[in-house]
Amino acid sequence: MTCVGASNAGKTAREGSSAENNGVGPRHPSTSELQARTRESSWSRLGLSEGDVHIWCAPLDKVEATPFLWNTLSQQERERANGFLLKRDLRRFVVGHAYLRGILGQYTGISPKDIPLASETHGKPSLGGSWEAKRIRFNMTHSTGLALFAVTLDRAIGVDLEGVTRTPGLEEMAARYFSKPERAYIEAFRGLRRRRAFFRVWTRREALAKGMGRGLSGLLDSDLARCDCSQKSTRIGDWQIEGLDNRPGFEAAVARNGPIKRITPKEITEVALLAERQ
Amino acid sequence: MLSLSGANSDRSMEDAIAAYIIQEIVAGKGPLKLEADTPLLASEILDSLSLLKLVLFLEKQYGIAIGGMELVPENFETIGAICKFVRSRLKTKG
Repeated sequence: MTCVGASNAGKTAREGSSAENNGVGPRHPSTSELQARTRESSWSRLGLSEGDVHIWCAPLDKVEATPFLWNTLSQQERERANGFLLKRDLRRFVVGHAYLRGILGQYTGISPKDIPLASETHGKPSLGGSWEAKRIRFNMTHSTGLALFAVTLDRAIGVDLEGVTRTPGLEEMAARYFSKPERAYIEAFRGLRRRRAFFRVWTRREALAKGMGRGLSGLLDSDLARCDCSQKSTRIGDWQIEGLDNRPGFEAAVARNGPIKRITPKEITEVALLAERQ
Repeated sequence: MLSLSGANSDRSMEDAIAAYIIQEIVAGKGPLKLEADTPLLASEILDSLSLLKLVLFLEKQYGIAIGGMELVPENFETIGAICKFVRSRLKTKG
């Protein structure tokens, strides 16, 4: 299957043609049919099919939080932005969420400012609106000025990115929160490589926790300790967790509640993505 | 472990937690003054990594053990909420 929504959309149009047209002359598609075709072409154009994961990467510090980006956000997002204590965090939030809306607009055919963002029980962002839109599942993460957005079809997804920065107390955290195999994996390295190993374990756990959407209380879930970090790919129940080939100085991972057939990196350049939707 | 009773102890717990967050978590990323009701999660001063780091500090500083089910926004949204949570855990501890 490449896309259930796409094949259904095509079927609806063909059936409609037969029922309403009675074989006499061309028929104009209805608005809903045109919208369904737009979504189909959006997915197809971006090459997203079942089992695919798209990873969009965006620098957050190279773009200013312009009025244009600000106006892309919902009232709720603007209120949240105004609650940030540091200007740098506010700017990163505005730019990151404008990018998120721009990306989701690419998949749904909906204008970025009209993207119907919703929240699951523990606050995990999701898409509201039509059932076709809800098929697009996504998750976002950011760290030290870089953001990742993971997009897939139909299955819950989580992504995490961490800058491998000098963070005091990592060994103490590993001792308190990580399992014996996880600690053994980290302790096999020395110096900077050990720090990277910590964040490799952390991002896999965090991607899975975010995918599961259990909120803060899910951070210490025993399932998280079952990732095998010595492998790039690992399965825990229905979840597949993949380490991402990331930028120097970062560790990242993605978890999908189903098999991952292919991971495709997508690059955002400047704000062309947003401008394109205008 | 600190002895906690009365307004001064409440204040010292607030100050100790605020100082830890500013020194160890915000760590020079910007000028910041934390009040008892300053949102920590919504403003992303605390993310999941720094939250677990803070939990370690609280466990060590106040001699309590914090479980996964206690990691809910109501307990960590503000310094005031954290103090209330820690005090309740100290009472349970007896």
